[in-house]
Amino acid sequence: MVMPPEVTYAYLDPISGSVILQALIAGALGAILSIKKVSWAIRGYFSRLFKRDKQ
Amino acid sequence: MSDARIGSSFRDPSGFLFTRDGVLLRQVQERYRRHYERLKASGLYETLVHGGLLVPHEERPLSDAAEEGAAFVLRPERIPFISLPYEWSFSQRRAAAVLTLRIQQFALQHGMTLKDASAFNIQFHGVRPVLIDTLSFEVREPGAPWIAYRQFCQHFLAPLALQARVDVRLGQLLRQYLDGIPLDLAAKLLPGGLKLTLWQLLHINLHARSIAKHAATKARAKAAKPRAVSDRGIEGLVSNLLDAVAGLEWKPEGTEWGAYEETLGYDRADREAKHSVVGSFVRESGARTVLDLGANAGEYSRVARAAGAQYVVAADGDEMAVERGFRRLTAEGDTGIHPLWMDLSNPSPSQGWAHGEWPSLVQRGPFDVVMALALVHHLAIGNNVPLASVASYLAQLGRQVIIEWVPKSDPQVQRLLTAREDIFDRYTEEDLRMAFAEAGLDALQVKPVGSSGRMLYRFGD
Repeated sequence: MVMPPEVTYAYLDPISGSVILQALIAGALGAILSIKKVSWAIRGYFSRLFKRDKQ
Repeated sequence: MSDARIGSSFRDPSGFLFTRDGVLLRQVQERYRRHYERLKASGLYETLVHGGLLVPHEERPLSDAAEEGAAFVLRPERIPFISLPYEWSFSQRRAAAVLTLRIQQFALQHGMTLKDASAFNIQFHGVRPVLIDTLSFEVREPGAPWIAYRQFCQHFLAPLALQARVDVRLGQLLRQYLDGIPLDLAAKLLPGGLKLTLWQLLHINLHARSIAKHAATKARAKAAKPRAVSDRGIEGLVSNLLDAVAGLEWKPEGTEWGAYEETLGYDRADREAKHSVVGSFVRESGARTVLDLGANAGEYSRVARAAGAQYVVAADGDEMAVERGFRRLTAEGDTGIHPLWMDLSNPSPSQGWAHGEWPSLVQRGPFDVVMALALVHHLAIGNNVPLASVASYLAQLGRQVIIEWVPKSDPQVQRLLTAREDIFDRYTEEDLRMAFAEAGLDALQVKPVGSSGRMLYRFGD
C-alpha cells in the first residue's frame, strides 16, 4: 500500500519510525477493541435481560 | 485598518490567524477548502461545537481576507485568556488529552482525522477545555496512519506519565520541549521492569526505539511504503491511548501550600474581614478581568468573581494548590476562573521561534486588576526582589493592583527570616507606597485586615 497523496500535504513530519510502529500495533489494538465491544454488548444484553426479569 | 498576524500561526499552510482592529480572524487558504467543506458537510463541526469540544466561529465575507489565496474567512469566538501547556496542572493536562482523543474519535466517525495533536491547540475556558484550531481536521484517506500519533504521545502521554509515575514537576519539561517531551527521554525517565505497563511499552518505549531505528536515511527510504492502517486499527489505537490517559492518576502528597487554606494564616474574624475588604476593593475597581497571583486554590478568585469580575486567572506556583483549585472548580462548574500553574519568581517568558510564538505573561495582559494577597513578602524576602521591582512588574500586569501587605512582625514573615539574617531594611509600608508611586500608581484605598496587623491596599492611577 502506497501512502495516499493527501497525506503528503500534512505539515507535520510523519517520522517513519512512528508510522511503522503504528502500523504494527494498530491491528492488534483494533482487535482488542473489537473483543471489548463484543463483551460490552454481551454484558449489556444480559444486564437488560436481568433487569427485565426483575420487573 | 491594520492586520497583525498571530505569532504562533505559521507552521500549518492551511491558514492563519490575524487580528484586525482587535477582532480575531482566521483566513482559510484555498488548499484547505476540501477539508473545511467536509468538516461542515459531514456534520462534524456541528457535533463538536454543540458538545462544547470545538470553538465556534462565524463565516465572514471573503473581502475580510488579509491576503490572497483565501477560500474562507472565519471569526472564531475568542478565549478570554490563552494559557500554555506548561502552565497547566496535572488534571488540566489530562482533561486536554482526553478532549483531543474524543475529538479524534468523533472525527473518525465522520470520515475525518486530526492532522495534529498539539497541546497548544487546546485552550481552557475557565476549567472547560476546548479545541481552538478549526483547521486541525483533514479528510481521512483509507488506510492512512494517524500522522499526529507521535505528537499526541509527546505533548500529552509522555508528560502525563512522567507526572503521574515519576514526579509531578516533570511537567515543567514542556517549557523547554515545546513540541512535547522526546519519547526517548521519557522512556529513560519512566520506571521499567515490573512497573512497565503495556501502553507505556507500546506508545513510549517501543515508539522511541522505532523512531531511533528508522531515523537513518537508508531506513527512511525503505519506509516510504508503510503498511496501511485500517479504520479499526486507528480506532483501537485511539481507544488504547484513551484508556492509558484516563487511567493515569496523580496522588499528591502534602506539598507546601496544598493545605494552606486549612492550616495557616488567619483566625475566623480576620478571614471574614479579608473577604469583605477584597470584595469591596474589586467592586470599586470595576474590574472585569482579574489576575490573582499566589491564588492558592482560588479562594479569593471566587471573592473577586462574586464582586463582579467576569474572568479571573488564578495563578499559583504550587502544583497541588492549582490541582485542587481545578478539581473543585470542575465539580462546581464555574467557567469564570482559570487555574494556572506558574513559578511566580520566574513567570512565563515569550517562547518559541524568534521569541514570537507564545506570549509571556505580561504580553497576555494587562488585566484590569492584579491581586497579590500575602505574596509580596515571598517575593521580597523569600526571593530577595526589591519592592520597587515588585511594584513595577505588577503595574505592568494590571491597571490596578490590590496588595495584602504582611508586616515584618507577622509570624509568616518571621518564619521566612528564622534561618537567615534580616537584610531587609527597606521592607516597610512606607517603602511599598513609594515603590508603587514610582511605578505610577497611588494608594486609592487602604484598610486593615481585622486585627491581624496586615493591610490591604488598592493602587491605581
